[in-house]
Amino acid sequence: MQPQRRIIVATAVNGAPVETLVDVRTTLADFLREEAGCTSVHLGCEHGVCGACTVLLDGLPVRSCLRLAPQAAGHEITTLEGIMQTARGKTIGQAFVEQFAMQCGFCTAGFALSLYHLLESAPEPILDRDIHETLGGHICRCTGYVSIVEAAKRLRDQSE
Amino acid sequence: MSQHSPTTAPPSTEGRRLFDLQAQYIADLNPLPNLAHAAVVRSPYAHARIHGIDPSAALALPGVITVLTGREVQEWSRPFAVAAERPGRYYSCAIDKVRYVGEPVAVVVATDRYVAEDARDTIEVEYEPLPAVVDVEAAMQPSAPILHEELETNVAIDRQLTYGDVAAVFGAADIVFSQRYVFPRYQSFPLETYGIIASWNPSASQVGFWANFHGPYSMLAVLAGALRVPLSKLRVVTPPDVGGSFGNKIALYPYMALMALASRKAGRPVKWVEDRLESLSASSTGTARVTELAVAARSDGQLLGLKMRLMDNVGAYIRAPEPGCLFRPIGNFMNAYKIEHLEVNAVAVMTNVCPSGPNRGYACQQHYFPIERAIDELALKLGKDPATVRLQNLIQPQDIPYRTVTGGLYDSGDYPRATQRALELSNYWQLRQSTGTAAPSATPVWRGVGMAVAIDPSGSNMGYIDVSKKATQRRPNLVRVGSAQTTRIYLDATGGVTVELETAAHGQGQETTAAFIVAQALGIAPADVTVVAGMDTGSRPWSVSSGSYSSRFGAVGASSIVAAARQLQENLLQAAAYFLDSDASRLRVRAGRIVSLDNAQLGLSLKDVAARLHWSTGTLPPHLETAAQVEGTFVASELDYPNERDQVNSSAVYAFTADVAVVEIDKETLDIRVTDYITVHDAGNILHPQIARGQFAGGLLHGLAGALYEELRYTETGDFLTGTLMDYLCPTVSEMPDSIVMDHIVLPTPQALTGAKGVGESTAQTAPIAIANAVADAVRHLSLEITELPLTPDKLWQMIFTGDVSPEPPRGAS
Repeated sequence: MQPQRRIIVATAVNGAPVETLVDVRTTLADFLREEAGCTSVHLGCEHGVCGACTVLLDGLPVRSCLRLAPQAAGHEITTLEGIMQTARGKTIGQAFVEQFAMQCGFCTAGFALSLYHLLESAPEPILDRDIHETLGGHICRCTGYVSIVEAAKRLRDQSE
Repeated sequence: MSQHSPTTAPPSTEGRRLFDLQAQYIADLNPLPNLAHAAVVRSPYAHARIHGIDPSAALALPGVITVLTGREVQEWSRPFAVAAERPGRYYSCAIDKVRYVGEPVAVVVATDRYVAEDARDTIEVEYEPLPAVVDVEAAMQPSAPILHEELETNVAIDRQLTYGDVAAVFGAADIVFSQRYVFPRYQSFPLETYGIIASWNPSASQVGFWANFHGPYSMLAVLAGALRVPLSKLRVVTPPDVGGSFGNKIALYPYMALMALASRKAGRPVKWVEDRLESLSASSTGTARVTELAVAARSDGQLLGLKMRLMDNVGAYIRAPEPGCLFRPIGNFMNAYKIEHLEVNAVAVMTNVCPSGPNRGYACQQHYFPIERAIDELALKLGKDPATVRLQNLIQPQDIPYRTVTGGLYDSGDYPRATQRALELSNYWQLRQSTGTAAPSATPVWRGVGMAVAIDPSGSNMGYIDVSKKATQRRPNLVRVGSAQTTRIYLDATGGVTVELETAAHGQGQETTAAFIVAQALGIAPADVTVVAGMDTGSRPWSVSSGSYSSRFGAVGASSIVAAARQLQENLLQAAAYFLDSDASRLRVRAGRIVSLDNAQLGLSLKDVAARLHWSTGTLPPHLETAAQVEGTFVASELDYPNERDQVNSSAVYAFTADVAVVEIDKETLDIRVTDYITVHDAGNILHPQIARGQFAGGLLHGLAGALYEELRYTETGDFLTGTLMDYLCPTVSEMPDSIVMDHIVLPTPQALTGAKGVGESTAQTAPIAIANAVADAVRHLSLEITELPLTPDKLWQMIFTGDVSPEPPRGAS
């Protein structure tokens, strides 16, 4: 077995520079959790389906379990820790908490980041099908999605 | 204290923690220095003898600390105990044979998880493959490969239970029919997988665990026995946040044993977080079952008796809490129907697949699926409506409390009313005019409506498990019931209130609800009540029945909160009476004050009473010295031990669910879509409306998954086929019904201080059945027998085109 090559990865995580020496094979998710302290990034399937590990890479949602940390070099990464510094992030958090749009909470950060992206970037008006398409990229096992859809619609209505 | 109206349910405490970025899941914890990381070597074979394990290449890798194999596991531990007549010898790791794909064979411990996984792939295991058996009925044949040779059979349990006079009612019946039903293997699929940090430290007094384990804590007794240590030598900490379970994480304890032994070998604490392939192949699955059901009825639709042969496929090892799937619903074996004659042959069979265990609704969906499908078939045979036959046979409100022939005590409810409500909300009778054979033919879909009702048992009486033994083999002097739950409340010197639970939640919002209950009792704001999250067996009271399982919180756990809050209230009144030189019976706790009924000027704030109790302890009379700390214990009553006729009240309380599903099946693709789902519950008092609603909707998701999408599949030779989310299909928002209506009627149970019954499992039991009945209705004109789940387009296609029915062919099929 070959020794792992190491590389310095320099990124901006939630607006702050992070520069760390890591194995080239380190996943972006592990990098964010272990090196950047972003424990809101949760690993549900590690093969890109469940959506729990979703983060924003230069503002676009990506599965951090499917990328290697060196691929993020020179890019800006935003996690739940980042959007909670924004007014929109706080609004999302409030809607989720009041609507009980989470139970165990393990999938929640992924949903919040995808919704954040939808609210930031979607063409007006956001239709129900846009919401379904956004939420459809995530698996939740607790809520049956009912309360998450309600929170998303509330956020859409608030943003209009 | 903040302004607060006690009738307003508070928002989610747990959710706020998450968005405050303070959540702590097991993978986030590093509670000890010098943590090493584990990777598990697993069997690629369903059945094989192990001739040797060579870890030398792994041990040569930089960063690898040690490799644990079955040799040490056999030396250092014992097989896990289980209530079965013929259990296999089940260790946390294979010893000389593997019996399912994914079974642990060795554990690599390294300084980092990546290195541990590298090393795992270098370990050479010499296997001699053996013939495997995965089908439950094939495994019962004398010629079948035997998993545990010393038993000379794969049948772990074979019990005959008889209630009433079955032969007489079958002899006298106008109609008798039988059918074979197949319930599939699917799992809870919590989004967070298993995670454990184990520390076997010879100089510490206890083996330490941090794990997302949530009970029942009786499993810790099984764990201690396997590790050959007294139960008091285990300390188990559950983190504040657990990413779901739905029953799956009850089977965490074998891995807790494995990681404790890995830590013992490594001489360091060891952390292990399961990956998704491991979870799907080797954590725990719902129990797959084949049922042979015979029904006896009168020509007017009256049900007279049932004969059931239950054949549970428990996987390679029968593992506690199995055989719960056979016996957990014993008190409610007859569902909500007034049937007094039943014969059950309960069989548990070991095969070369992952061991089974609880999955949301544990055993009820398996048990009710054949009964509720057969009622639809009976209605069809008699030319009656399935709803009419159900209403005719339901236990009536005036019969309640109702003692079932199998020993259950149905404590409260009005089953016809709840059922009628579901029929009303779904416009059932109107739907009947436009679905099934009444559906217009010139549409691109077949449309069907189906229903199901279910008694929803909550708060297990662990004694039921001993029905696995014949009455003569039970130990009558040990009444294993286990029904207590304790909550501790502290009033601190500044009037702050702290609540400690022993329930270890995993998404049920118990902190939110506990704060709400205590706040209401004291007339303060929920935000002023601190509920300590998580669980720690080293510092909190607990019993073998502690934990979050069996929809236990509403009836049992929350009743212990009420008991503690009432005790604190009483102590406050006694204290205030002493301080005010007043009569306690003339004082009340209101809005955070103790006030006098006689004198509006007379009163003390909670804060004043608290300060005096803490600062002036030496001057207090003895009955007030510890008044600021209370423990409330709730013991569920009416829980008995199985009698010589195998009757037992298997649960503390019994809720009720009545559901209606409407489905559309695309005539071209055979895609099945649930368009409408209506569910009506009688869960007694609702402790927190939004949390209860979330539980009903979540139960629906799990039931829908089992009905249409999720199945853990194996080949005939035991190769595992569903190791990713591309093969194991979890519903997303797009698969949910277009319209979901949730309603409830409220008939509080007298068995709980809260008046609440279970909410967490209800719809997970009914949805697979209501959906199956709706599909059967939609394809009735094709004369298909819907006796098996999940119902997939592929399965419908097979039935239509390999059966001898000649349907209206799907467009484009010719």
